[in-house]
Amino acid sequence: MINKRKLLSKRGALQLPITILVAIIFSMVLFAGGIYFLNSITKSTEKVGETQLEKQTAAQIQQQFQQGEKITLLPLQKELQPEEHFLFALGIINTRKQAEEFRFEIELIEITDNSKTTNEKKIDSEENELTTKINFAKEEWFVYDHSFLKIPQNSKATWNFLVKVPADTPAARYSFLATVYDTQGEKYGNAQLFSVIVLGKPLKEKNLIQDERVKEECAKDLSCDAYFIFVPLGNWQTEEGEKGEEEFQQKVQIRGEFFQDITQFKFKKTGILPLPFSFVKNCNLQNLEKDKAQDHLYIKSCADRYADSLGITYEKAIGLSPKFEGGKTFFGQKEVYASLGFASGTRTAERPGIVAHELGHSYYLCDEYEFQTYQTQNRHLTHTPCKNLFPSSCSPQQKDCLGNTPTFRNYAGTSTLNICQGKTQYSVMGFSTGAECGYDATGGYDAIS
Amino acid sequence: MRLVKINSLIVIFFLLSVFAFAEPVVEFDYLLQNNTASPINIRTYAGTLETGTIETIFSEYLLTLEDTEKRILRKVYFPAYFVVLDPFAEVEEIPVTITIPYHTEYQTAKVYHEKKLIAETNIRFLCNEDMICQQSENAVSCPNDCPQSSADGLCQRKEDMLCDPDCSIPEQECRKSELSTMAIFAWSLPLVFLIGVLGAFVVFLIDKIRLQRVMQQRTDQQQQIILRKKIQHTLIAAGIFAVLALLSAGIFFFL
Repeated sequence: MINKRKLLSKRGALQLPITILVAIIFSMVLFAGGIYFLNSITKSTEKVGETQLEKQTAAQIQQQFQQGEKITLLPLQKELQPEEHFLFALGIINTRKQAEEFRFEIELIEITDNSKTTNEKKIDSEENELTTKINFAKEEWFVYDHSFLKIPQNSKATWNFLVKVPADTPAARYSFLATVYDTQGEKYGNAQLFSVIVLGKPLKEKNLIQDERVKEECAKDLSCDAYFIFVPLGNWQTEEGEKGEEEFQQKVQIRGEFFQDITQFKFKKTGILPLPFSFVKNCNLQNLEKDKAQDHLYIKSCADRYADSLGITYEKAIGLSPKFEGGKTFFGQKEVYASLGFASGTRTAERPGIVAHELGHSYYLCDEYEFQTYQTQNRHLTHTPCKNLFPSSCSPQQKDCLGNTPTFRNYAGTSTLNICQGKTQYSVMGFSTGAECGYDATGGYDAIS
Repeated sequence: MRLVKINSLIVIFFLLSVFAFAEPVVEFDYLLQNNTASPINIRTYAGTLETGTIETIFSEYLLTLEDTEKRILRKVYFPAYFVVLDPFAEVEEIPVTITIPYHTEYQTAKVYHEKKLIAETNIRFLCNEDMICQQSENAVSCPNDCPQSSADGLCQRKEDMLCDPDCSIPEQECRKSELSTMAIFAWSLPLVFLIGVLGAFVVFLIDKIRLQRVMQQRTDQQQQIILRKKIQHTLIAAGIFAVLALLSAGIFFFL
């Protein structure tokens, strides 16, 4: 009797969970079915929406062709969230006298912080607080066919290209230019400007002064935004052997820090990379001559190989010689030649500012020591004028203009072998007094970014 | 006047704001004379290009990239200033570096001076699509021949769970895996000793049962002695294994 009761109570205990279990399974099936149903409804609505949109786009493109446009692009602006995508349409009509092949390219024009007013942007530019260097992976943004498309005379065609906003893209207005080219590489019609407004997290403003620790770490784990590679030239080896490399590294550090402190690179994660002597052995850098253009390319070639072995891209390569023979640069190039200082007779004077001076030229800064020289250099730069203004404090007749002087930033590095002589008057692109341990700011080195 | 100042500040702001995008690029290093151009180095990598620098500068010098059907895929006017600085002087030969977006369809690079062809280079060696990764190719220039993060002379720092053998400084993810391999190797020793302890314990249990049986039967005295000795040895071995396991675990833990 007792056993039967026990059994019944056990059965009762079992009955309740079974009912609940059935109910749970039933509700789960219902829930899943509901989600599937809703999803299919949304998809079909989207499809209807897309087809309507495509029809609308086609009609608008047609309308613009009737207004005499050779190239049209729609829509001109689109708001998208990160990870969202949208199909843009680029229409073309071949008005040439025969059938021709065309292709198109998309280029990023600018990124503007759409969360700010014009006044705020102006303040940013004045205070140099916003260092907007955004790495933009083009292949992650666009999907389109790069090949040529043959279009018969007076015929129209439409290219569709997909814009997909990568995850973690900061909120901003991204403006692009779509340009159509013919087989001769000539532009066809007007390039079309369009924008993608990315919604979400705004652009982060970087801190003005970099933490020294962050600077050092970025070069160690190769997470810097910019790199300068120093290539040892000539004979740095001393009798003690390894001391030569140590000395080279010290000289590089001083020169690199000095350049960073006087330019916009102070506000970026910048890495100063001295090339290891063991690596230089693989480069053909014996008996280089600073005046030979080819030798400058050899310096670059060595830095290229080092950058490839690290998996980084770099700003400039600096060939640093242990001699005292000044520097040499070709305007706007990726490589410069610099030595430790100047020599006069048997006397030598170390000038860490030479690296900064040569790098200045590589960023299209002209000499400031004499107006005549400045003018001559500016005349030669037919397509890119001098990025710095001639110092307003110097007269055109002056032969020893010290160059532009600092306004709000000073050299903040460690003392450089008594070369500064306690002076705050700096001259980098100007007349050399031996006090060039600072920077010039008024339209000079600020142009380097 | 104030308006002009504000406008110029805005212009400067936009000039200072450098926008860059990472994509496959090709860099041409030429030694340029008035009417000759010698290619010194041609290199491909995933790089950044400053916007507005391509096809916007007009110059007497032009670089074109053509495909196999001689169709121009890219046309770039590049500046050439025949001067050197420090001291400033006019020169006949200058280095020129031109960086442009890369396409696998590029076949020929041509340099023109005032519409006159001064250099022509077949750059098919950057990617010949033969499924073999050759010296002049890499994962950027020829992804079909050189797989990503393969040994191609170009270190690719990508979070792809692959360790590129070209990276002179290992990628972050590879440093992690190196560490985990080391850890597995290090901790395997105490684990082996622990298995030894367990094994000894099993042997001890079996012998103990056998001894009890022999003792119940009270027949074979010699076997009893042998079993007792065996149990003793097993216990000593278990103790040694346990000490070794603790010692090695302690060493690796504190190291």
